[in-house]
Amino acid sequence: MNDLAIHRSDEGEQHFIVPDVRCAGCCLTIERELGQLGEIADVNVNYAEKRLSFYSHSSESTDKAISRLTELGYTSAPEAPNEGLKQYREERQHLLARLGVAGIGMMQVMTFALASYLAGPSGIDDAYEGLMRWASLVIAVPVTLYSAMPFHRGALRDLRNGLPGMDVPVSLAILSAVSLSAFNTVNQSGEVYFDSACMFTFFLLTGRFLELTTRHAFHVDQSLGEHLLPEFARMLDDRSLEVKALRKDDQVRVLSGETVPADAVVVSGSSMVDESAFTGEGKPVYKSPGSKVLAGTRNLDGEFEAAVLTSSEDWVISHLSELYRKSAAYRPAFAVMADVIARYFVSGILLLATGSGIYWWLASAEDFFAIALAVLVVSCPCALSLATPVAYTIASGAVRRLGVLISDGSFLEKLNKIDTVVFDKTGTLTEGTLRLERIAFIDQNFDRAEVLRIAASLEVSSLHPVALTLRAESDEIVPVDELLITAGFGVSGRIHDCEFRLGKPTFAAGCEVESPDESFNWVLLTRDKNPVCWFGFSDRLRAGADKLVAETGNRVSDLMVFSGDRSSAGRERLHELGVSDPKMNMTPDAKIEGLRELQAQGKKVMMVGDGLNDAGAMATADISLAVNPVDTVVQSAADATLVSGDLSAIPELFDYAERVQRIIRQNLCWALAYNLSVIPLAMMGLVAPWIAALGMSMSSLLVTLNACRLARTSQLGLGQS
Amino acid sequence: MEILFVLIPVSLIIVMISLGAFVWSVQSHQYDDLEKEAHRILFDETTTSNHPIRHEEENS
Repeated sequence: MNDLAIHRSDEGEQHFIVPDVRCAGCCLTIERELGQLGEIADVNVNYAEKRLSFYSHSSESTDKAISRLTELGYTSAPEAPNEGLKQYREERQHLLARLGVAGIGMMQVMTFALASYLAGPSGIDDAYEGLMRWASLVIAVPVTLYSAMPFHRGALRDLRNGLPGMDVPVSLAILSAVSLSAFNTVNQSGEVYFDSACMFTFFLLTGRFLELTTRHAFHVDQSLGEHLLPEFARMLDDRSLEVKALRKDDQVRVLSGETVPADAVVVSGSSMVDESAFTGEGKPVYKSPGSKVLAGTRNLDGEFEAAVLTSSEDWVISHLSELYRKSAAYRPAFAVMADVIARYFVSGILLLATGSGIYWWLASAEDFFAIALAVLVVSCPCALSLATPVAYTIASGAVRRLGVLISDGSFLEKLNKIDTVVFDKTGTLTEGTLRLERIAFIDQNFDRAEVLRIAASLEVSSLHPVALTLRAESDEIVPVDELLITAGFGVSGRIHDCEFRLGKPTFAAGCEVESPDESFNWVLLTRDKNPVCWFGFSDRLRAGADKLVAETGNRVSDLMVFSGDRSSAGRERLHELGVSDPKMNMTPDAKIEGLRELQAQGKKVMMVGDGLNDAGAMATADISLAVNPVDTVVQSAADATLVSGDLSAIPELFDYAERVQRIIRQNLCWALAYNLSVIPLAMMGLVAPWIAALGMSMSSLLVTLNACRLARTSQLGLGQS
Repeated sequence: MEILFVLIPVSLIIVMISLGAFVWSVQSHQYDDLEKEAHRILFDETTTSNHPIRHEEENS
C-alpha cells in the first residue's frame, strides 16, 4: 500500500528542528519573521536545541510558516516525537527548580546560622538563638521535603529492592540532621544542623544537574543527525510516501536542494551531492547512474531518480544512530567495579556511622550525634561511583565530534592496551578510488566497450573500489541473473546464459592464470571459466598516509599491513611508507589467520580496515576500526567507525584514550583517597558536620569537573579542521 | 534589637514568595534558552507584535 500519507496533526502545537540555526540572532529573526505572518502564534525558537515551536490553527497556516522559513534560507524537519528528549526536559526543569530552592534556602539558613557562629563561645541571648533556629527550621522544611525529594525517593526504592545505593546514606543524613535539629529547636536544647543539611542538598543537586546536562549535550548532536532525514519521500509520480514506508526497489525522485530520503542507487539523472554529514568532506560528490547515495545527504544542483536499496532500518544513517545508542548505554568494567565497591561501601558506612555514634555516646560525649552524622556524610562514595561513567560519556561524545563513532563502549578502554596495529591497504592506506590503467585482452572476440559493459553490470551492487571504478567506465548496464559477491575473491553472474566471473584468477578461472605483469593490480574477467581479459588498476596512497604510519608506529610496538593486493607496485608503495614487511596477497581467511597468530604471541591487536573483505578480521582482532561508512556489515563488525575518513585521527585517538584513562585514574584515586583518609578523622570527632557536607559534595563536583576536561578536544589537531 | 522579632519573620515571608516566584519562572520555561534572551535587546522591536501566548498544555 503506497497511498499518500500525511500524518501531521493540523492544529495545535507544532515542533520543527531547524538545523541551520547558528546563533541567537537566527532565533530572533525567525521568531520575528514568522510572528509577522500573523497566521501562527507563540513562535519560539530554542537556540540550544535548534527547535522551532509555534501554535497553529490549521495546516495551511503551518505550511505558510514553513515556506516562509524556507524563504529565509533555513531548512526544517518536523520533530519526531522523542520520549527521551521530553523526559530530559522535564527532568531538567524539576532539577533546576529544586536546585534553586536549595540554593536560596542554603543562603538564608547560613545567614541565620552565622549569628551564633560569630558570637563565639559565650553565645547569643537564648531568645535570639531560638528565633534564629525557628527561622532556619522554616526554610529547611521546603529544602528537605522538596529539593531533597529525589534522594528520598531513590533511597526508598533502593531499600525496597534490598540494594542500598548512594541515595540511602544521603537521604538518611539529611532527614536525621533536620529532624534532630527540629527536635532541639522545639526543646531549646542541643545543637542544630540546618545549615549542613541545606548545603549538602544544594551541592549534591548541583552535581546531579551538571551530570544530567553534560550527558544530554552529547545526545542532542545525535538526534540532530536523525533529523537530517526528511519525513516524506517524493515518488516518481510525485506522490509523497513516508520515508519509513520505503521498501527495496521503490523509485524516488530527488529535486535540487532536497535531502536524499533513502540509501539508494541513482537510476537516471546526475547531480552534485553534499555528503559532509557522513564523511566530513566539504567537497560535494558527483553522482551519476550507478552511484550510491545515502539517506540524509543533501542534493545540491541537479535532479535524479534513484532506486531504494534496502528498507529504512538498514540504511547507514539508521545504523549509525543505533551504534551510538548502544555505546551510550555501555558501562565500562571500571564503572561496574566502582558500583560494586560503592554498594559494599554504603553498607559499611551505615555500620561505621552507627558504631561511632554508639561509641561516643557510651563515652558520654555531648556531640555523639554530630560525629555519627559527619561520618555518614563524609564517607558517602558518590565521587567513586561518578568517577568513570561521567568520563566515558563525555569521551565518547567528544571523539564523535572528531569523526569517530564508538560502537563498543570498551573501545577507548582497550585502546590503551593495544601494542600492534594492522592496516588493510586498499581503501585504508590508499584512496578507495582506483584508476583503470589497462585492459589486456586474451579472448580477441570481445571489444573494450563490451567487456566494460559486462564488468560494470556484474559490479552493479558491489561497493568495492574496483566496482566503483568499473561502473564509472560504462554508461550502459545489462541485467544480470544469479549475481553473487564472494568477499575477497570477486563477483559472478549470468548474462545471456553465459556465466561471467570477475575477480582473482583462482576464483574467475578456477585455476592460477599468469597475469600480464606485476606493475598493476590485475582482475580477471572470464566467460564460462575461459579468460576474456585482464583489467589493470592502480591506486594512490592517501594524503597523509606516511605521517599516519610514522605517528602510529611511534605509539605501538608493531605496525603491520595485511593486503589483498599482490602487485609489486603495491608492495613498493608500502615500502615507501616505511612498512618493512607488508603481508601481500592475503585472502580474508588468511587475514584472520594472521591475526590469530599475532594474538597467540600474546599481542593485543587493533585492525583498521574498510571493506567487506576485512569484516572477519575485524571481528577477530581485539579491537577494530572501520574507515568510511560504506557498508553496514563492516560497521557492525567494527568496534568503532571513522566516519570522517580522516586517518590522522588514529594517532590522536591513541593519545586521547590515554588521556581518558589518566583522568579516570585520577578520579578513582582521588575518590578513594578522600574517602579513606577522611573517615578516620570524622570518627575521631575532628570533622564538623558542615565541613563534612562541604567536603563530600566538593569531592563529587571535582570528579565531574575533572571529567569535563575531556570535552576539550581543541588540543587535538583535529578539532580545528 | 527586639525589632528582629518582626524583621526575621518578614524576611521569611519574602523568601517564601521569592522561592515560589523562582519555581514558577522555571516551570513557565523561562530558563529553557538563556542564550537567545541575551541577544534580544540588540534586535529592533517590530510593529506587528508576536505576543507570547502560553498555552495550558505547555505549562502543565
